[in-house]
Amino acid sequence: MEAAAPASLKNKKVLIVEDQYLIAADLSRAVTILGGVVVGPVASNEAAQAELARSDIDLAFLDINLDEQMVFPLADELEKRGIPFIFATGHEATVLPDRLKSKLRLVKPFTVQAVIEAVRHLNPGR
Amino acid sequence: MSGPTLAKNPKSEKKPKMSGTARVAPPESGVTATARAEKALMEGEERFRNIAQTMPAFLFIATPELEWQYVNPAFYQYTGLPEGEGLGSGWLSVLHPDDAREYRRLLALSMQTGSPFELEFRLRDAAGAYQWFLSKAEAITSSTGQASKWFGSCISIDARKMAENRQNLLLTELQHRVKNILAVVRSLANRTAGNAETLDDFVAHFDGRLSAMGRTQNILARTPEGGADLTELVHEELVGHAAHFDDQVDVSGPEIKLRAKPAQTLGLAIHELATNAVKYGALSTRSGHIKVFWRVDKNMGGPRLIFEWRESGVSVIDREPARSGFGRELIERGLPYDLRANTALEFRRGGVRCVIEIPLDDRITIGE
Repeated sequence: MEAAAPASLKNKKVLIVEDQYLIAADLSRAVTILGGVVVGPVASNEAAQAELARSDIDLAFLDINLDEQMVFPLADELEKRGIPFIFATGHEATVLPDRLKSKLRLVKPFTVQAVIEAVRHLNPGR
Repeated sequence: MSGPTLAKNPKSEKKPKMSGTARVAPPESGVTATARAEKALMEGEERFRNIAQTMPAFLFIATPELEWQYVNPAFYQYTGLPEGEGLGSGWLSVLHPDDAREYRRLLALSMQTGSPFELEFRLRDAAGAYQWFLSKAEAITSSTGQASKWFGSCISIDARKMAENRQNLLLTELQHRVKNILAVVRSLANRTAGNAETLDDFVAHFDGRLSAMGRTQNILARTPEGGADLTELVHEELVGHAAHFDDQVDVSGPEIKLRAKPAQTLGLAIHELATNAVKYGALSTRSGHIKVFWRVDKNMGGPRLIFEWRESGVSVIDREPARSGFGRELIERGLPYDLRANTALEFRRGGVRCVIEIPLDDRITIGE
């Protein structure tokens, strides 16, 4: 797929980590619209790790604060595996540790269009 | 004017103005005047020492280059440095390394211009922990306008700094919550639009859901750190519809203080149940009744909240398919997802029955 192509998640497995059902459902809908296959959604780090062990993930959306638990260990794990991810959060970048500050951030409340833009930024050629 | 002047103390400069009248007192002998001056000086020094000894702030006197020549005992008590080690540039050894650069910048500026020095920095205490201080120093200038000495103080502002940090944390948390709520509102709007047949229908449903969120926020705001009381949450949702349901509604259960997120999710679910009851269920007929009751079960594993909504007196159960929309999804999928709840929703003869079981821990409730 070329960078110039429209944002698409066709047949990509997209892990959604978000602790609120309604927001997770919104994200799932956006991923489905883009042709992706939703993995999860899951509401905790542990559940996310389990999904990670079970299936090959192409991309992940991560809420930062999961019931007062920070998602950073999971982000590090994704980084190690070379799986791209996008933070979907109400938090400012200041809460991110330095090593993750440069990561793509989708700021709540977001539209489907914003999800599409974020996916486009991820360099879909990879 | 001549000699060193202390700009802040004009009184010492002022000479009594006598308009030509003769002085009454006889002139003192030189010896007496010197003795009196010495006594005054000693008294002055003793006064200073007493203040400096007992003062919780650090008081220092420094050279034009801001090398300390004197600092009071409070400094040594705080830092644990041996007496005398703070003098010269010795005190810089307890200055936080991250504050040293700003200190040197302001120092150079003050030395150049003679302007007052003011900086907040951290100093290491005897136990090795850093605390915040506000340091101020002013130069006393000589006749040539050069700084001849600095007099300064450091006062502890650690409590204020901690309050500021806490405030910043709260602000960050508040911004996060506001954005989350907006995201939920957006989701509610989309969902409501998806199920609505007309614009009026959309407005009525959306307005109801938004009001329910508002009521939950009001309850949370009344007791910022105390959580939302479940009884209040149920009452607000039912009263939100009409007060005359009093005789048709029975609410009972122990005190449960819910945190913000579970309060919001459960509040919405209760709102959906109440709306349904008003439109089609127990509150759509005078013969209908709702019993809302809950208890905390501690038998199996950890404590679980067992909440039941039971309608009775509804003779005709109709339009069930129409009601399997958003409210049902919220109860059957949203609550299990957000609160790890087990839920059962039945439309049966007599009315709706809904059971919600939520494992209780400190993510759900406050206290105990």
